Amino acid sequence: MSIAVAGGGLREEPTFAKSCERLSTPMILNRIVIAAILVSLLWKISYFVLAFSIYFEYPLRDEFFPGWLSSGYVSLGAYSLAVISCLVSLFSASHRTAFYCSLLLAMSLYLQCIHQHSYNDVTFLTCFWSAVWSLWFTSRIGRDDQQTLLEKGAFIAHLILSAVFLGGAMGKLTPGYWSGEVFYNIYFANRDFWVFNLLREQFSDESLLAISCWYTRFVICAEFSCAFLWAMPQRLASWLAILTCCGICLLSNILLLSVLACLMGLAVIGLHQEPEQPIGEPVEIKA
Amino acid sequence: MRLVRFLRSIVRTDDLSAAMVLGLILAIAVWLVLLPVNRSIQQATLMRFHLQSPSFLAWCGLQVVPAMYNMENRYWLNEPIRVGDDEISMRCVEAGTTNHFPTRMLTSFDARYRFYRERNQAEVLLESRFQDQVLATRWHVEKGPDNSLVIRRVWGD
Repeated sequence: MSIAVAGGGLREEPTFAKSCERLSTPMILNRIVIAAILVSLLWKISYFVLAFSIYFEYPLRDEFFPGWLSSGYVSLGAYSLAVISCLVSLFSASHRTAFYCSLLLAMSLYLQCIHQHSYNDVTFLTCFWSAVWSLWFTSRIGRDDQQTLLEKGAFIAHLILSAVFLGGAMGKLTPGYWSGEVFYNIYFANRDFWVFNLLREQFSDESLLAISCWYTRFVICAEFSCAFLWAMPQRLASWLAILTCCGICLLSNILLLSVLACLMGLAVIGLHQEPEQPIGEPVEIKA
Repeated sequence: MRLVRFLRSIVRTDDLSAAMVLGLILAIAVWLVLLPVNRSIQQATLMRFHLQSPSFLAWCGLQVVPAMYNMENRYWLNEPIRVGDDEISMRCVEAGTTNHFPTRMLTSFDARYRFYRERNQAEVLLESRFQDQVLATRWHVEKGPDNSLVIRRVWGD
């Protein structure tokens, strides 16, 4: 698409696709993670809109949270700032701008992690850790050579993913989970989702409890496997993380994509491979 | 091995920020690995889930530790009913299981909406359990001025 410029003539309008063509590989990878964070933040937008309206209408007074961390304005401001930071970062070609956007993003997401309205929503925790990755990554663009940066980037991404999965696995090492009782109460007994609806139609309550038991043990084993992503070959680790995240979404709750989309964005970093030098390329040999 | 290559490249590129991220994740991993065996960590995690950490700052520090679907968390919602002329008793009107942070039964938007619309006051009993460690807290909820709800911890052990 062309636009007229002062003094006559036409100038090519910068588009998102064209700006991507000019970007270095690290900037494109950073954009992928930021886009994944944005998907996470917007996935439950209708839920958040309803939640904010109720938080404003019915404020809650308690002794634990400081007044400003119970304020609807602070919560809404932090959420909006996070979304705006993502959008600016996505459309900026400068790694310096991307760095400041990631800084704002990480700060606003941490604020959500300690706010009365959102402390219990893991969406903000996984997005926060993804933003920490982006903050580190953008701080190194231009300072590390590309190969080193991408290798380090993939390793740190896998470290973060491993820590998230480790958190899930360790907290379930308690009899209530191991027996399947907790997941039975949360999901199998009455959750309206295709898997559980189908199982309820087919099986008795006793069988459902047994299925829940093995479902829970499978989840714990999968989370434990993913806690070692950092020790696996890079591409295998990324594919395993993506597969596990997709599995969790499809087999337990599609709303969990808000928690997992940003993690899948992080996993994608490990899938990138620098193109190898073509065979037959002339090589300069120094005497 | 990737870890060794990573450590070498941190040193070679003088990357202090990567070392900091690595240190933070390592500290979190040690905390998580010790969770099943260390009673102090179990108690700190249970208290985090009940908003009962010794200080707000300590709680803020723990909020970066991943805890998806952790602990066995249950709640009971009790409503006062009049059983005699002067006697009031509590009747359980709802009970259930939550994935994490049982205090969401007090602070989340749907809990607030239902409290405000359906009752003037209530008591909520929250219980979190990890292996043989149990933390139970009882909360009083009532309507305050300007459409607000006031929550107050009655007891907790």
